[in-house]
Amino acid sequence: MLCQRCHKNPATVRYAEVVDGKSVHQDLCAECLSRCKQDLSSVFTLGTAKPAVRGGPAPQRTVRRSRRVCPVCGTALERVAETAEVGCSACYTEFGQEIESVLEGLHRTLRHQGKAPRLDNSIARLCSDLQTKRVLLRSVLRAEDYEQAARLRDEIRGLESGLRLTEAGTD
Amino acid sequence: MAEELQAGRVPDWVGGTAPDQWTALVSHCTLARNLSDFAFPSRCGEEERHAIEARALDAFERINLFGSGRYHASAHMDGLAWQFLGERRIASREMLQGPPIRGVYLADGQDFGIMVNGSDHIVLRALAGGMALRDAWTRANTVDDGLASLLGFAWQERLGYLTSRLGMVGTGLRASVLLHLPAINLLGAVEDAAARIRHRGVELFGVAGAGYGATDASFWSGDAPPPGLPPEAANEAPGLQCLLTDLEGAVCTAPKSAVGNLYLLVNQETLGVSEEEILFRVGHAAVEISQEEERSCALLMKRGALDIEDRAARAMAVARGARLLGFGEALELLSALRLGAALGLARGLSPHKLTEALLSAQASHLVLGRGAGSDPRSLAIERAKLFRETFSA
Ligand SMILES: [Zn+2]
Ligand SMILES: [Zn+2]
Repeated sequence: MLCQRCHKNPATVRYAEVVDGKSVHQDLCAECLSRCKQDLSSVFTLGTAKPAVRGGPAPQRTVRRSRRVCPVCGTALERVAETAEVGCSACYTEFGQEIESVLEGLHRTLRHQGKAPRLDNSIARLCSDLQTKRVLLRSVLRAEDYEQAARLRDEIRGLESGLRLTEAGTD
Repeated sequence: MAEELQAGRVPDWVGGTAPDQWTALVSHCTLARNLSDFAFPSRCGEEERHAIEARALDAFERINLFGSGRYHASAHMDGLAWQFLGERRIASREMLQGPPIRGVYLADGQDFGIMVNGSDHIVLRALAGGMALRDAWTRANTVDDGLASLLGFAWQERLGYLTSRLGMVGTGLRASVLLHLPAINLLGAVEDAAARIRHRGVELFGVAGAGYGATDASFWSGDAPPPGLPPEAANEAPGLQCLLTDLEGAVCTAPKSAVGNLYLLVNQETLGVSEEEILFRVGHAAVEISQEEERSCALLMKRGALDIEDRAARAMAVARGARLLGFGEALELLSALRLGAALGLARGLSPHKLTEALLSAQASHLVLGRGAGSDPRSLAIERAKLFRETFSA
């Protein structure tokens, strides 16, 4: 479905506002949404454009202007709602419910069908260690603990070179 | 730059033997993937972007991609080079202007590419001429398997591949076909056709042209709109004059704003539908719409074959005679010629020749491939020359 304001970009978000006591909504693209929101109302509705042919109104959640932020990447929930984009894989867990309500509007079901990556086991372990350390690194950097950060960086470098050796071994 | 990008080379997909190349120009399969241990590119600092790029290049090396292609890092590319990769349908629009430390792997045949640090860490794109989604998918899938064995991709049992756009999560796959639908459009039936397939999770968009949406006009010096462009295009950045792509396969607009009778058929759903089902649905819808185009052609021929022949003959006369040719007008000419040739009303034209002319008429192709100056007037002169050479009797 195309954005109902510019009729150019695909609509990703359903925007609702209260006008004269009545709620009106439009399916918008991210650009038009941010233009709309320059005159803020205190409550906005998070939902998504859903082709009318699939029947029924799009699922909607009313979200108080939320200050929630992903602890890993710092992306605000509000921004996720506006753009239908997330900042990292942890956003999917952090904003689970809200994201699912957007996904319901965009896709058939919330159950993946299709291929899965086949990763070598020892590489998988190293990758998940790296993942943990990178998350830690971000949070100590935010806390401005540079000593810790330096230590973590060294550990990450060590793991990275271990990863390269392991990969080489699988050739 | 022109040599590194092989600007003079015709991409392999243009010569394909897939069926129905009058209507279906090219099929794209695009796969978005992310490494599990980094935030998505938009939230990464330089240090992380470097690490992601290094990990990606290391994996490309291991699965032997550099035997048949090379990596173009943003540090060594200017706006023109980026636009060229966009015009070749390999680099998507947001790659053209992203933050530093990004790049594109381009296979020698120019029918396969991998974007690094664009919307997602890794985006694979395979192209195949005509209606050939299966061919494009097979190549993208093989490289994806190779990379997946070396790189920890972000994946969940329930949501599949995690992508930066919620609209891509699941398979991370966009399968699309670029269609030329002049007859359906002349009969005013594009919206109806789009409505008929929408419930299957497949959308028919118009292809946006002439610089819509992209903004990097800084390296273009001219300020007057090139001759031949429709007025709305004159408001856009004057230099772009090309068809860019997005993860969908083209920059999409409403069907009524399509340029050159070009449309993109693409899956909208990526979660809850398998890759096979997506390919089947898009492929099936493409065949259906192509058959409708055929029926519409027959109807137009019955109503007035002379009118179509007249359009094609006039287009040919302009193509052979023009001294200044804007991109918008070039698209219209190519469309009239393609329709005429498909119906046997214009001789000596193959779909390959017309598709090649469409690629070559774009701005950075004219500059890098033919040495044109980059101001609008020089482009119009060079484009007219290209058409006189291509279509001379
Ligand atoms: Zn819009
Ligand atoms: Zn996050």
